[in-house]
Amino acid sequence: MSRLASRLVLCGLTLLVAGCASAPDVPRIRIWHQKIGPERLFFERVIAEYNDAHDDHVVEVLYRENEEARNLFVIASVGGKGPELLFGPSDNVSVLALTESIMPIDRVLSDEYLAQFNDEGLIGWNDRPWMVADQVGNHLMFVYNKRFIAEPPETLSEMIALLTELKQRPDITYGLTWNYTEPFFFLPFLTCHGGWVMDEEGRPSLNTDATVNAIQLILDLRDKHQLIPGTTDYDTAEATFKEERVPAIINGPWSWTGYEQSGIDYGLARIPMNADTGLWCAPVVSSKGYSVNVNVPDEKLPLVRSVLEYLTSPDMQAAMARELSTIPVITEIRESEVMNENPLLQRSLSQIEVSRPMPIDPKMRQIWDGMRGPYQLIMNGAVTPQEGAELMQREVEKRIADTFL
Amino acid sequence: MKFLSNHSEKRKAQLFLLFLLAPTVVLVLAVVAYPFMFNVVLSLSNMNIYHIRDWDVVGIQQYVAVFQEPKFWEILFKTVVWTGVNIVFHVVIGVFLAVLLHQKFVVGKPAWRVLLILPWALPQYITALTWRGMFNYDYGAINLLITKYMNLSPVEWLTSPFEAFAAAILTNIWLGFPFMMVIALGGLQSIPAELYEAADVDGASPWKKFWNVTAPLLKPVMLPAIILGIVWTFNNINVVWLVSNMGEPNDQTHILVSFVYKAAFNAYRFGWAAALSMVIFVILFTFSQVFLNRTKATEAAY
Amino acid sequence: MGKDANAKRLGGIVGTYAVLIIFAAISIYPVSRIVTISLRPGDQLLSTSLAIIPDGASLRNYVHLLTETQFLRWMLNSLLVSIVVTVTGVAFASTAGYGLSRYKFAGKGAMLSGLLVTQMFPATMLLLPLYVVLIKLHLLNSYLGIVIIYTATALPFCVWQMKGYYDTIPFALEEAARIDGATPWQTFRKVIFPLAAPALVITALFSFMTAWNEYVVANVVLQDTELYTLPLGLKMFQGSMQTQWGLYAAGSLLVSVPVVALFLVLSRYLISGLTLGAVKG
Repeated sequence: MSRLASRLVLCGLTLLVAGCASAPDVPRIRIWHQKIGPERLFFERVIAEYNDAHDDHVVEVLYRENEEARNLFVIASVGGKGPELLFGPSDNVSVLALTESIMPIDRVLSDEYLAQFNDEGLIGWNDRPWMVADQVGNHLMFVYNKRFIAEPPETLSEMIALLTELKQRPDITYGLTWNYTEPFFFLPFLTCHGGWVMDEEGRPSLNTDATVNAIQLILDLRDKHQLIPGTTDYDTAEATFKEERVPAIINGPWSWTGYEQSGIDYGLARIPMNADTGLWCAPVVSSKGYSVNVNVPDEKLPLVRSVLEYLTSPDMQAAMARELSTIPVITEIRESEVMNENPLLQRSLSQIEVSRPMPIDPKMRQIWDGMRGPYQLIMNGAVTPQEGAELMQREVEKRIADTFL
Repeated sequence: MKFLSNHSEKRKAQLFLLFLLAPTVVLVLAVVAYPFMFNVVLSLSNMNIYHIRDWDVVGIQQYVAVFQEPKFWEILFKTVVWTGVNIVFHVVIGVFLAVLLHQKFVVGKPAWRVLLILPWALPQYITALTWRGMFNYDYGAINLLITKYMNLSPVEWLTSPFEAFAAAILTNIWLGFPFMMVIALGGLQSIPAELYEAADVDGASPWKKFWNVTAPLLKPVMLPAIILGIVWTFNNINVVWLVSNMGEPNDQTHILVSFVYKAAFNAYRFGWAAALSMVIFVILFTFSQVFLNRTKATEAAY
Repeated sequence: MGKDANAKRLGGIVGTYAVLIIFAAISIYPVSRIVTISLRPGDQLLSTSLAIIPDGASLRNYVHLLTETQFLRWMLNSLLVSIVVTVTGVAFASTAGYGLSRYKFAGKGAMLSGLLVTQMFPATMLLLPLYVVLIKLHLLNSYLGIVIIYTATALPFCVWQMKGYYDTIPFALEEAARIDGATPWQTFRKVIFPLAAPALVITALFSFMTAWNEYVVANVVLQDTELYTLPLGLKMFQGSMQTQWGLYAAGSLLVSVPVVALFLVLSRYLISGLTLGAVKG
């Protein structure tokens, strides 16, 4: 027994040491990303092509979920390490820049190169650009099952009428569903009442009539029209839509492949318009792109530049638009014929046209977090609209004050 | 020890003792000492998102802020309830099942043991989420059971604060009893059969046998598991976090350690999070000292 | 009277089996839900159907996992790390536990509670300093770093567990061995160590599990997918909104297979029949 044990230890230790000695002798450019599904496959393919074409450096990619990627990146960067590039949503930029984890992107890429991008393609904060994007997206849309709905509703009142009629069917339990736990899903209802999470000066502005009206609309859908479930979360909403018990769901591009795989004949439309205000229910959209670790030494910057110019190039964005239906952020591609080739892309574009860009502000983390609890209470029917609006404002303000401690 | 008669033998014994203890002490200290000291310093600093690289030691203001946090006492209370309820059920169910399985007449023991450790064997990340699904209001198996077979009205498990907390506790009880069962199974092996035979001769009831024979002899083996079980449960963020989906509804299902996590990695309030960690540490340390003194766990049974 | 006792005995047997069946069912049911998720197409965590075999069930996820991901590689990595941690844990805990059970020395109580103390600090807050230390020691992206951390994490419980078990073994056995002329090491190795088999099983199982399911530290230390352990590999199927539930569930079930196998092998020793009564008699 003890001989066996000591042999195992010996064998293990040998392997441990062997396991460490795997570093290649050419410089490595590491990218942490959070591309999923078809996008991940595409990404891995183009990286492999890049590596085949270059033998003086090698690109290695690692998938890390968004929250974790950002947290580990900050920790690693403070420790003087971390991957050379981080791919993620634009909301991360303010936190990464504020913690000095990334460097301004114009230190890596030339002004001529950056000039190709539109406003969504370059993410700025404090008057410097920090991220170069390869797409804009994350847009919530009105996703409907074509088995039940032939023509998507244009306005909220049309939607209520249509869904009320559909709800008469015995196989339909509710008319519409969405995620009740994340305030991200509340914002379309806020914007179509003329509200927004912060005012011009960046102060939280949630205790407003717009918020009250938005909450009232949701409570009416829930209690007066009984079109949406009393309780649900992301996974429940997904399950009911995929099992065709609910004819419509509000969800984003990350979910669409799953509907296809479940055999749902789905359609995409803008989230309807509020006819009373004339405003569309605009979701928040964020660009997604690359930022450069502040610890990258100067001699490595040309390599990083080469990788970045490859991954965000006009050709790459056109290929992504064609194959993945992502929305390019290079002006030339955005205005090109590519945009007309693919119906899915056009649907997405029509929603992006009526959307609000994600504010690049470190306070957004506190705003989301402070809104989350009250939003859940609203969806559970536990507070009145006035209470909900006051609570949101109070919780957000407390969290913002706390960050300075 | 009594068989140490002369000086050189005493030296030898000391060397032997050193050989026994040194590897563990060195290894544990190497991993724990620096991070702990680092946190002490951090808890006295102003490290937050605005001062993540250029932070300074500023004194005890983070501790003051911890105790001024309006939710602190409420969450501390919830944490204590969470820990207490969980550990009582873990130990009672675990020991009970071990004693049942230990009986001579039970056939297929290996099969029973494997079935009963399944909750421990599967990764928590998936089992906790499965339980969340089972607590679903409309479709969850638990509400179905309650309404169909017990004729009660369905429970809003995940959307009412009390029920959501109960759901997290139920899940964690399920996850934790196999561990205590395995410890108890091991401990039962050390109890000589003749003690039970002697009790049988005295005509003792099973209950009496348990309290007079089993319980005292299980104590030295169960105590470390219980005390560490308490410490681990107190700091177990996974289950509450996953079952309640990060504190639903309205952040009413937190325990102290999920507040640490949120402060550190949601808001980058490292100084505050470190101070709260120190408070947790002091609570657990005080508790363990009292517990050890009461139970005399550091002393031998014989 | 005899009849009465028999009826009681029968009642005890029936009651025992009833309780075991109930708890086995409670253990299995959630696991059966995970089986369902792993067989369901379309990456769906929840379903309104309670059928164990879902509509359109397929083994697609398992095939995909074993052929198109590095799952087997991760499993080998995890086995390597976990086995090294288990062997080191058993070696260190069995000796340290023995020293703490059998010897009286200054600072013994402090050492015992000191071991407990190491478990009391919320692990989330150890990440930042650990990361800094690992960078300085060049232990990032290597197994040596995580093996050391895992062993140190598992040891406090294991040492206490071993000490508690040794405490139940009477001193008389060692004195007998000493009279026969055995050295302290021989006494420990040949007499006490084998007797502690049940506690060694628990120590081994616990050390293994500590390393097998650990995620947070591994996530910070390991940066190459080639070096990934199973929990890290599985997390790659999870996104903030969209998770590949099918693969995730199938992977989780496969992850638990070695644990169950290990338990089956070890639990023979857990009830080795080597009770003290038998030895003493």
